[in-house]
Amino acid sequence: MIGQERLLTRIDKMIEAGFPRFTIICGNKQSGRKTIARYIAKALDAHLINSDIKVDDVREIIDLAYKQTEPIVYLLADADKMSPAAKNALLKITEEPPRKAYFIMTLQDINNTLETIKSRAVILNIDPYTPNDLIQYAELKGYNLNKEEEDIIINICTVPGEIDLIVRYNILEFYNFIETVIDNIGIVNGANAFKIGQRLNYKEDDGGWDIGLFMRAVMYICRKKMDINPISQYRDSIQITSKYLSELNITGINKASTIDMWILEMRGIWRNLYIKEKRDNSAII
Amino acid sequence: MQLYELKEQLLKKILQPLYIFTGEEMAVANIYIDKIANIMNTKPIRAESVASIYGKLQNKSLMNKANCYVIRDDKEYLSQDKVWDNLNNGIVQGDNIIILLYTNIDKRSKFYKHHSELLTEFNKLTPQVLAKYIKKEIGLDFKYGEQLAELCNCDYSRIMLECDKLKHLAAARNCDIHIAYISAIKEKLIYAEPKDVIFEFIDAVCKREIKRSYKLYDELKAIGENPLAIISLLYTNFKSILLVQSAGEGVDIAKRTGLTPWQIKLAKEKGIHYSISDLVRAIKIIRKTEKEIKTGNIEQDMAIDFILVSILFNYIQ
Repeated sequence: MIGQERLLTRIDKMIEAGFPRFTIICGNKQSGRKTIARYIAKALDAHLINSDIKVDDVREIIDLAYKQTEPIVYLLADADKMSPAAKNALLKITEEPPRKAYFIMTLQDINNTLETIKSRAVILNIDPYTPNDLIQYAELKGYNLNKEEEDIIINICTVPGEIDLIVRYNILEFYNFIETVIDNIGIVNGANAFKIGQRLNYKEDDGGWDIGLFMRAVMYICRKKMDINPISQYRDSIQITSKYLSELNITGINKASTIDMWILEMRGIWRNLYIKEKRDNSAII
Repeated sequence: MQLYELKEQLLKKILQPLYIFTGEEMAVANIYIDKIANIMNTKPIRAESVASIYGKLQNKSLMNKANCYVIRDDKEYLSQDKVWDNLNNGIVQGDNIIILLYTNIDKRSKFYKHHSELLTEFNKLTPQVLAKYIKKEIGLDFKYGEQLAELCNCDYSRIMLECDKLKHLAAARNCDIHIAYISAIKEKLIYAEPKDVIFEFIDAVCKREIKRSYKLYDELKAIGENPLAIISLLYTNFKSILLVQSAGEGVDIAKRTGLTPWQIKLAKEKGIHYSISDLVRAIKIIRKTEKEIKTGNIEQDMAIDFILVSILFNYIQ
């Protein structure tokens, strides 16, 4: 386990004092929520069971939980998408916890669960990872990174899981593609610009690039370029990207259309500069 | 149980303690219910729920008369898994027969999986089969019968009502049933449900036909179409038009836009009504409205009105 010293110390103290039957681990995707759950199960000397979050599965584990004679930890991962019926079924366990079973739910946003569940659970928040933590994780995983790649990782990735993703994409290829996008988004025609969206991952198994990583990479590259060439277009691009990055977190938002809007706005910023440059050049001739 | 198996059983007068009928075509299911009751030499008794007759079923009767109970959409029974087997095996009902009717059953549910062998689905019949029923009922030719079935959306009960209407029309005008049918069609006495209103609506908006757009929108509201589905289709269509317009000319448009040749043809037809800046504005409005719905800043019911006013009326100004 890399980083999270404060959280792990808190968990150790909780285990000494008697670990709560119902816990929520809150943090971004790939931030190590399941690793924390495994750590808890190990410390409790209990089996860890990954459960589905469908209502039938929740009801089944509740039935089983009351029959357990050995300590057992049920993990309800990514419960943000849990149906209201499943959440209500889970309420029973929070009211009358079984003697030998522990429930751990992982969420991205604490507001994606019922107030009644929230008020009965102990909430553990994943702390942000420091650049050192991230580099340490990459070293531990055996990724042989040069200085440039390390810089990219520190500035783009926020959680360890994202390092695995970006290494899988090929860090420099990913970076160079985004740099090309920023340089050319105002020059290419609209149909071509919309192709950027085809490279991204809108659903779990789409296989494209992670949208969050992509957007953060855009902001990082603009920031870097602004240091060399301080034109307002880079600042505007960072603002627009940041705006759409936060909109992507709205529950149920159409990610593909959000990216389309980002493309349109970015084109708007860079197209004006391109047209102005073209006009200036023709005036000189 | 497949429908043909049920038919075979009933022809051989073999009955089972519990039947579960599901599907849209309840009028046909009712014919089978009458047939079962007929074999039992009784009339079907409609009951509210299994719970309401559960006690009665266990009473010993001096008359020893078996009843045929018909229960429609008993949602509570769907979750009473502890009594399912009692009813399935006829332990509770004795000689009585229970017929459960469900318009819709979730195929992923425990109930469906548990009763999959007992369930008989009454799906809509094909126009060809229905034409035979129509021929038998009023003597209308197969060609017209199929047409009538399609007009009635293959809904058996509606077909029977229309047949009755035609019979009376022929009698009132003292004419042949075929002439009555043709005049009923001409005079629009047989209501034809509009098909694919949503696509026609999208087409009207993309072609900037204001009156047609609003007329079709009223129809969409009447059938309760989901505004988010409309928004999603509007977005996809406007984006296709924008892609095609901004891709310029040439043979490789399909490659450049990622659209199919058919989508490109449609987008080109619609594209003449909007400029590129109009299209950009339109997709921004559509997307913004969708976001506002998701964030609770705009009511779903007025979202389409807002989009129509913003997109269509820009043209008039």
